[in-house]
Amino acid sequence: MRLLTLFFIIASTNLIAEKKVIIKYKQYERFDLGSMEVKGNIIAPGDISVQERKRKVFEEELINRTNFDEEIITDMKFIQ
Amino acid sequence: MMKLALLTLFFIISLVHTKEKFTFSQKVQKNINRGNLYTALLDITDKYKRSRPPKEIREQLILIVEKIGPHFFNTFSDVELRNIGIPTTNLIMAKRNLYLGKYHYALKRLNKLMKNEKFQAQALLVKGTVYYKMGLIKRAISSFEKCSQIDGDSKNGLIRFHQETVQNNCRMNLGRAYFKNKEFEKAISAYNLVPKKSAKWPYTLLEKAWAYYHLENYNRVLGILLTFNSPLLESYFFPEAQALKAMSYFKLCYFEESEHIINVFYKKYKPKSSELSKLLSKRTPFQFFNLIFEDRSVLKRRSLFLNSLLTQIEKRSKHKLDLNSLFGFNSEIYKASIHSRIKDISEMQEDLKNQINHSVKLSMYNFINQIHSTSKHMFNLQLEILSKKRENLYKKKTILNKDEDGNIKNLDIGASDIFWDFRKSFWADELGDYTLALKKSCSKARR
Repeated sequence: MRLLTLFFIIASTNLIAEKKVIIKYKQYERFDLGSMEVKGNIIAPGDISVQERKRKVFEEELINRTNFDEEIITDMKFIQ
Repeated sequence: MMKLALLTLFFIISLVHTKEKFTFSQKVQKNINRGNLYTALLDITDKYKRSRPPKEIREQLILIVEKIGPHFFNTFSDVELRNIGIPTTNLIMAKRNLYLGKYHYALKRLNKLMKNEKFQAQALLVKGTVYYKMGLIKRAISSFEKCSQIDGDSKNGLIRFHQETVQNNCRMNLGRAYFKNKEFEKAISAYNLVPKKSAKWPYTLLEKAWAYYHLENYNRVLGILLTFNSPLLESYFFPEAQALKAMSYFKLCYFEESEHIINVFYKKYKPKSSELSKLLSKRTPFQFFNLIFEDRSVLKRRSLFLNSLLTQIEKRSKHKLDLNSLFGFNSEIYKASIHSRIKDISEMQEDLKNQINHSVKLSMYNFINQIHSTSKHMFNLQLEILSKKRENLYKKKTILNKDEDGNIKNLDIGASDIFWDFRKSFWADELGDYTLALKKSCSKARR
């Protein structure tokens, strides 16, 4: 039994040792995109369109005087 | 017997006390007669800082303060001022309470002053300001109206100038109270009460222009601001006037003109801002005090701008009073009388120099802050102009023909108004009464 197992191990090792894999890559490959087809359903319109975005309306805080509170106190300090 | 002994003792003590008081009062009077006013003042305040001085001492104190001014009491505490109890110290305490927001205490102090004729105008001015800060605009208007009618009658030139300053301030504050209450036409009438000879008059122009701005009379705003181009007002510093000018053109939809004013503002005020920053970054002792006494012809050659700022500061009443006090110190030290307290007076002089230096420095900081805050407003306005111009472009708006500008039909004419053309010369009686005649073209297309 032991001898049989040993025989099988040696035999398989020899087989593995004998197999030599050679990998070879294609030197040139060509794709014809025109003839390629994609199967599916169109859900978006085919034509080009541009959606106008909302224009930002600037509302900057512009100068607007509603009182002269600071000036009243400053002028009092400048009197005496 | 016991009673007799006690009575005699009481009589002797009161006699000694009266003699002392009499002697002290006599000593003060002698110093006043010799012109050693600061020595007399120091003697009184040293003796009566913690107790109320008697009536005759208080009267002598009032006389001294009338001649030298009240700056000496600026460093006194409230308790010390209350002890002294003369009208000047009451006024100082009222103002302090106003600045601290303690309006009821300020009014309490002012009510004591109202009976004193000499201080009535100032008391009404402070009272009106207290009511204004409290939001009681009607009462403020009433106080300002009363004090604007009180004419100064002093024969002393400096005191007369001070009285006129108080009166004109009351008139300006009356305008400001109406302005805050949104009664713009009444505000304009109040501002017109300030005479053209007054140093406050140029300031009324800017505030009047704002009142016209709120009435949407932009032609009038631009006309008033044109006054600042006159040679008489070239020393006055009003960066805000440029912002208001640009805003008025913007409201009339004259975007190119508005942009031009913004560009001119940056070109004109950027070097001025750099100059002021350089001055403020120096840390020499009494730098600003020394600037006041620098030779003006030299300063004009060095910097016309700094010269004009100092001219503006020198027109203030407080500044004139402080300089008068400073010269008073100098003359008392120079006399070097054996009765004078030279050492103490020298310390008081140093203290006043510090106060003047600080006041001028604060003014310079105020000037540079005005440039920076106006610059921020100009920047915002520039963005808004770009936005409006882009909007016009997208909506394909065309510009109106400008032939209608300058037409008298564009003016907002009052019943008693008379108009004539401006012929490139600023006559004194015409200053402040200019108006433009531009046509507002915002709603229509422009080419």
